[in-house]
Amino acid sequence: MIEIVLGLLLLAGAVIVVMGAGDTLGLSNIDFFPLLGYGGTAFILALGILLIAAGLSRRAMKRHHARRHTLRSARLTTAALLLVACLTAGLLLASEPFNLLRVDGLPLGYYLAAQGGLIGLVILAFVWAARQNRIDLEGGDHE
Amino acid sequence: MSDVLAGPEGAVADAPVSEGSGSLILAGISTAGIAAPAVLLLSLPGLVFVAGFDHLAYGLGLLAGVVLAGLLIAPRMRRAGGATITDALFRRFGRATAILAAIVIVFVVLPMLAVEFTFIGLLAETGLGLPLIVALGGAFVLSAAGATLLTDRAFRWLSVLAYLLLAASLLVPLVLLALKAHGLGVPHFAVPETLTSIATLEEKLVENGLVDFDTFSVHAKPFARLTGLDLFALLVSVVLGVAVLPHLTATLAAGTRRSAIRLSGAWTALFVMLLLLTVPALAAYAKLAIYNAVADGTPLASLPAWLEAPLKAGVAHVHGTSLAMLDAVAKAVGAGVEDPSAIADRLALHAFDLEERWRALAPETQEAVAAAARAITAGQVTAWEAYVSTVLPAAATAAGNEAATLSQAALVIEPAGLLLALPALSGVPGVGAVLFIAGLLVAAIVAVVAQVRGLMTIANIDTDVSRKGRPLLVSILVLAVVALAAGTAMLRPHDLVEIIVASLSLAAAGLFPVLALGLAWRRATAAGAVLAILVGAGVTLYYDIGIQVAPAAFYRTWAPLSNASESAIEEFDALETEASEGESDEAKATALASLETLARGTATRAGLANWLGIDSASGGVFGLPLGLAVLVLVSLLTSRRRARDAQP
Repeated sequence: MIEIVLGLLLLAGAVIVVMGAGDTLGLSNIDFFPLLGYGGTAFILALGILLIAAGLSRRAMKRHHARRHTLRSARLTTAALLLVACLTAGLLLASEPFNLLRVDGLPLGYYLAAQGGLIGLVILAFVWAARQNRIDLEGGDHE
Repeated sequence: MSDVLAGPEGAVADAPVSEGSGSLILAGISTAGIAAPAVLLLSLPGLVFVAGFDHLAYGLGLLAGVVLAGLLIAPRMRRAGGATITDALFRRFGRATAILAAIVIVFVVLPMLAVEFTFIGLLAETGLGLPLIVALGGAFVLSAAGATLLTDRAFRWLSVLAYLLLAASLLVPLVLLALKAHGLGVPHFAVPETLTSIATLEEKLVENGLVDFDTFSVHAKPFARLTGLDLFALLVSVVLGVAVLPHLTATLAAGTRRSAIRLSGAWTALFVMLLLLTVPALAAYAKLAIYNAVADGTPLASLPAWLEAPLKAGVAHVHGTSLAMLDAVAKAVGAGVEDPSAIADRLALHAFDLEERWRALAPETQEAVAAAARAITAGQVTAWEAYVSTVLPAAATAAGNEAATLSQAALVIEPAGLLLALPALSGVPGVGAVLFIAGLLVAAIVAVVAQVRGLMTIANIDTDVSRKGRPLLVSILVLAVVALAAGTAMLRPHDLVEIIVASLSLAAAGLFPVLALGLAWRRATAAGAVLAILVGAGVTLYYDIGIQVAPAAFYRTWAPLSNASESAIEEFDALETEASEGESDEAKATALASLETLARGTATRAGLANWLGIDSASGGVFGLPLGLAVLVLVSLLTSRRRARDAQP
C-alpha cells in the first residue's frame, strides 16, 4: 500500500515539475524543471509508475494465492530486464554525469562501460538465476 | 559431468541431471566458446580501437544478449517443451509459426555464415598464404563434416578448445603489449595510465595537424562517433539479437531442467565476460603503440612492419592504398590491362571495395600504382618495396601530406586489420604469428560449425529427442545454404561487422517478440505470433534492403522522417534536376549515380535515406516494437473472438 501512495506522490511531483512548481504551489520564482530537465522528470515519472506497479502486484499476490508463483516470476523478470537496460543503455547513454568523477585518472563513465557494466551483468545473471530457481522451488514448480 | 556435456541424447528423462558446479562451469566454458559469431568477438578490439567509448556498446551488448539468452529465452523454450526455437514455437503456436520462424532463421544465419567464411578466407589467405578458393573449400568441408559427423559430446569439447584459443589470442598480445608499455603487471589494471598517455598523444597529434577530423575521435569521449539514438539502436539489435541466436539458445536449452539451464547461462555469461574484459585494454594498448609511431613522425618510407599483414589483406589503408590493391592491379597489368577504368573493372571482379577505392584515387596515384605493378610483374622488386618506394610517395603527395609521414589522417585500420596487426605489433616472432592465425582459424571454424549445427536442428519439430533421425533432405538443404554462404565469401564482402549487426537486428525484430513475450503470455495466439514475426522481420528487412538497394527512392518516400540537413537536401534536389534535365545522357547517368551515393551515404558521410538517422543495419529498433505491438493487439483480438465463439 505504501508503495502505491509513494508512487502516486512521485507522479504528482513529476506533473507539478512539468507544469512549473512555482505557479502550482503558489511560490513564485521557484522552477524545478531546468534543474531536472527532461531526463530527470522522466526518471521521476518512471520511478512512480514502477512503485505503483510493485504495490499492485504485491496486493494481487496477497489476494490470489493460486497465481502467486506467476506473479513473483513476472516481478523478478521485469526487475531483471530493467536492470539489464540500465547496465547497457543506461550506462552508455548517461555516461557524461559519471565522467565528472575520476577514479585513478580514469573517467568513471568510461570505466563503467568498459568493465563495471560487464561485471554487473554477470552478478545480475547469477542473482537472477538463484532467485528464479528459489521461486520455482517454493512455488512447487518442480518441472 | 557427462550428462551436461552429452546434451539431450545422453540425459535419460527420469535420471536427475547432475547440477554440480563442476559440470555447469564446463558447460559454461563450452557455450562461451561458441556464443558469439567469431567475427564479432574478434573485431571488438579493432572496433574499440577505431571509436573508443562509443564502440564499447558492442561488447556490453553482446554480454547482455548472452545473459538474456540463458536466463530469459532458453528457460522459456524449455518450458514450452522444445529444445530449439522452432520446436518451442511449434508446441506453443503450431506449424505455421514454426515454419515462418525457420525462414527468418535462415535469413539471419546465412549472412552471418557468409561473413564468417569471409573472415576465415582473410585469415587463411594472408596468414597462411593459401589461395582463397582452397581456404573456403577447406572451411566448407570441415564445417560440413563437423556439423554432420561429430556427436554433441565431442562438439562440446571442441567448443572448450575454441574458448581457450579465443582467450589466448586476446590475452597473449595484451600481455606482450602491456609489457612493452609498462613492464610487468596485470594489464587490465594498468589501463588508467594507458588512457592518460593516449589522451596526451591525442592532444599532440591534434596540435601537430596529424589527424583527419572525419575519422578521428577522442578515445574516452562519449558520442564522438555515434549519436545517443544510434547507440541505442545498435544496442537493441545486438542485445536482443544475440539473445535469440538459434545455436546459442539451442545449446543452452539442451539441459533438461530449467534450474540447470539458468545456472549454466550465468556461467556462460561469466566466461564471455572474461573474454570481453581484455577488449578495452587490448584496444588501448594497441592505440598507444600506434599513436606513438604516428606522434614520432615515422616517415612513410620506413613504414612499420606490423602494417604488412593488414595491408596485404586489404583491411588497412594508407592514403587509400593497400598491398591488396597493388597485388590485384599487378594481376590486371600482368594480364595486359593498362587503362585505369579497365583496371577498375578487373578489381570489381576481385573485391567490390577495391574498385571503389581505386576509383577514389587521384590519377597520379593510379599511375604510380600501375608503375609499381609493372615493376613487380617484371620481377624487379618485391611488392613491399614497390609499395613503399613508388606507391606511397605518390599517394602522400596527392593527399597533400608533404612531409610524407605516417599520420592518423593517412592511416585507416579496419577492425579485422587491427587483429592481423596484433602479432607483429606486440612483437610475436614469425612462428608465433602463424600459430596465432591458426588458433583464430580453428576458433572461427568451430563457430561456423556451431551455427550450422544450430541450423540443422530447426527442422526437428514435433518429435521427441529427435536428433538421431534427422531427415537427409534437411541436411542437404542446410549444406546448400552453407555452400551458398561460402560462395558469397568468394566475392570478399566488406563491412563485416555491419552485416553481423544487420543479421542480429533481423533476429531481434523477427524472433524476440514471440520468444520473450509469446511463449510466456497465456493469451498470445498463433495468429498474433505469425503476424508479429511477419511485421517485425518485414519492417527490418525493408529498412535495410530499401536503403541499400534503392536509397534515393527510399528517401523520396520517407523524406519527412529523414534527419538530412538542409544543405544535403539542396544538394539532393540539384542532383535530381540534373538527372532528369541534364545536357547529355552521360551527365544524367553520372548525376543519377551520385544521387544514389548521396542518399545511401559513405563511410565518412551519413546518407539522406533513413528514419530519424538510424543506420540501415540497426532497423530492428523499428521492427521490434512493431512486432511486440502486433503480437499483443492481434492476440487480444483473436483470443476474445475465440472466447466468444466458444460460448453456446
